[in-house]
Amino acid sequence: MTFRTLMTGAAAVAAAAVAAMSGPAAAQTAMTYKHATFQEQDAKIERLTSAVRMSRDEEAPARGFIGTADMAVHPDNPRIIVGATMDLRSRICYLTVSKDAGRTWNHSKELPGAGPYPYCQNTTAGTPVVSLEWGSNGTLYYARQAYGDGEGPREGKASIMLARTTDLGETWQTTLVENNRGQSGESARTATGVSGLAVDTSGARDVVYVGYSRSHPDAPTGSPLRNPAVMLATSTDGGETFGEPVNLNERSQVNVTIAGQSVPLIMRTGFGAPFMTAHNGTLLVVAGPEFEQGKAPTAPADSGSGGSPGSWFHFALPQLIARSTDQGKTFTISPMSPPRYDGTGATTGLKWTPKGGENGTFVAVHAATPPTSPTSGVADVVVQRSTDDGVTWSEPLAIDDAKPEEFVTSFYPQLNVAPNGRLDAVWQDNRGLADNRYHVRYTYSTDGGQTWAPNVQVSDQPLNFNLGISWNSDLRYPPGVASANQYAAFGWADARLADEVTQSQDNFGSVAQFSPLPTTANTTAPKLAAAFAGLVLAGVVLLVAMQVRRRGGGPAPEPVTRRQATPAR
Amino acid sequence: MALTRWRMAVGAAAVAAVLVPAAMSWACVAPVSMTIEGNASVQPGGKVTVLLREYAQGAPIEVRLHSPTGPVLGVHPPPTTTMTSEHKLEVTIPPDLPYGTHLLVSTQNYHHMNSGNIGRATVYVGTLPPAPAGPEPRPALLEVGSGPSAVTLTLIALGVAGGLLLLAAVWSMVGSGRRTEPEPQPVKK
Repeated sequence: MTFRTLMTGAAAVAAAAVAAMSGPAAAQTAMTYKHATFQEQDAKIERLTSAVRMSRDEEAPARGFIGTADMAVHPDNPRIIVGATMDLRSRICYLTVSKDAGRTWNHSKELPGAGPYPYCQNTTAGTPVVSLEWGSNGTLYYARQAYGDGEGPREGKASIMLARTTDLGETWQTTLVENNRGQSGESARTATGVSGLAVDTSGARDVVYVGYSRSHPDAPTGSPLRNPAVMLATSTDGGETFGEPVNLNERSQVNVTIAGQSVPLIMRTGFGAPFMTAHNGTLLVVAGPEFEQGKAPTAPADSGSGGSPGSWFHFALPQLIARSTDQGKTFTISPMSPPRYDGTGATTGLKWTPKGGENGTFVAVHAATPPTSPTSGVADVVVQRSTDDGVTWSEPLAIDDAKPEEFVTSFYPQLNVAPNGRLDAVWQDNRGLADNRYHVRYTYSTDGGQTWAPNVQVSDQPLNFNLGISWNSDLRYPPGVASANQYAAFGWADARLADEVTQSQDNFGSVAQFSPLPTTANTTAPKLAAAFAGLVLAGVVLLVAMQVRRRGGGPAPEPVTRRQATPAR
Repeated sequence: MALTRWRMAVGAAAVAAVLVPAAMSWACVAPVSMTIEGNASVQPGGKVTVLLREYAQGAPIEVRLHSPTGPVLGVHPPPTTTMTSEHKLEVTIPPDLPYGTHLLVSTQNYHHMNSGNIGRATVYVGTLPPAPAGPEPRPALLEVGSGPSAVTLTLIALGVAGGLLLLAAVWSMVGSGRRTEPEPQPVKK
């Protein structure tokens, strides 16, 4: 997607459509995106398992797990899956581990980065709160917000931490990416995260990128410090040390035209940002759009009485993307998508797959409402692809196959990729459901996102959003997906074990299997035995052949007789 | 699983903690919630109270019958607070609605936050709600490979045997080619 000017016409069309509706009697016309092509893929789901409780290690009735928005399969062992999660009640982040491809789960022996910064809970919503990713040599990186007593979302002064483990959480090493403890005054800062973690393993040492947001809650109104700051911290030594974090919004020069005026856009931090991926030296960072403080245009008439002053809620604006090829030193920031409403948030799943293009494909999935829609809330999960290393992006196509007349809202997508290049996308929706219930939905692509499989419901029963701390506090999080060649494993927050008193919220997960897991039995011994049998067989055949030849050889040659020479007479 | 002492201390203290989210960060990008408060069973012409949550302020909320374009049964005035509040609206079920399961649908036609998200609530007119269904029956286990198959092992054995026999044949041919016939001795007269 090259740089584009916001088409005020799109907003005008929408406004006209709303004006034509006479108030409460107006008909709802839901406008949706064109669907991607849905067809059978090279892989087929052979088995979908029942849901298992991933948070079984915690029995406290007041538990409030948020799901596992970030999950990953061990690069060398498809039986090992890890997930990052948080308990809203205790404010603690956990690493949850499965060693049997998602059938059973346990929390790691040690908490990621326990110590003087034990807490990680924040008030972002609709985005990953804590992120993890595998690096080289079995290293697992885990990034989270970090604070102690007297600090946190309300008090400010929260920091960002990267924890590393090579033994599935038995031991951890930690690095403070940004340490805000002890700050005071107008310039005191606090950090919120972590919605983005990317690891580039293409070099000699892992390059680790941590994305989060920063704010200055004590800065006076009107101070430039009040502008949202989307931060990126880079480590080139496998997470041991980090350079000075960079504020991407200080480098944004994206402008849009609204009502004839050029308005600058920056990356939004509200509800959590950014979302990232890195591959072979290219780093991509995505966030929703926002106006600089004091520069938001007046809200249009179709935004109701809640629309003044204007905010990004009221306008169809593009998703923004920052691209770097020099380990985060310089960036090109531009619109990734056409203008759209993101009434269900800007969460973006971002991955690279070797499929779909000569140099592979970067793929992004996010929820969006087209600019022609009369409302901003009915959303599709759309996909955009880039086959030129993230420079340009395709038009969004819906990968949820709900029919427009179903008025389905699909939201909070996540994306992962298997070693064989299969893309897995998961989200939540209310298709065919009522009474505040939702399902977890899934689709996949084996051709780099050009076509997708018909959607599959992977939750085994509707999620009851009437129970659980998330649904009662508006702090909700995406489901997660981990991708192996043999399967895709899912995790989500689920209040099926709650009642009106406990409001318990657990992590539940299921698995969609494509092919059998490799056996754990010894496969070398049978092969050696077969080879030995072949040896024996060859020996027997040779022996028989020699015997036959010996017995069945030709008639004995005639002896040569010599004549005596006769003397002459 | 054994817990470290640190973890136990944190957990024990945290269990009593009450989470109070910062108001500035409410998720105004969430799906909306519309449910029936109390009994969802009603007679034709009767009233039900719908409970509306997560709706954006500033725009009226319409409650319609069956679909977003169905007849309007009630309109809640524009919420004036953030999305943390709840709203109740009493609506009357049409007296000519046949017995059965019906949907109430909420709409909010504006560009603000999550406005436009469709809420749906089920009412049971002249009937009782069905018993809640349990989870879908699904297999619990994943399929695991069984190692090399009999066919694979047979092929390995035949391959090794064939290779060795071929080697022996070649060796034999090379050897017989090198062996020479003895010169016939001249016969003396």
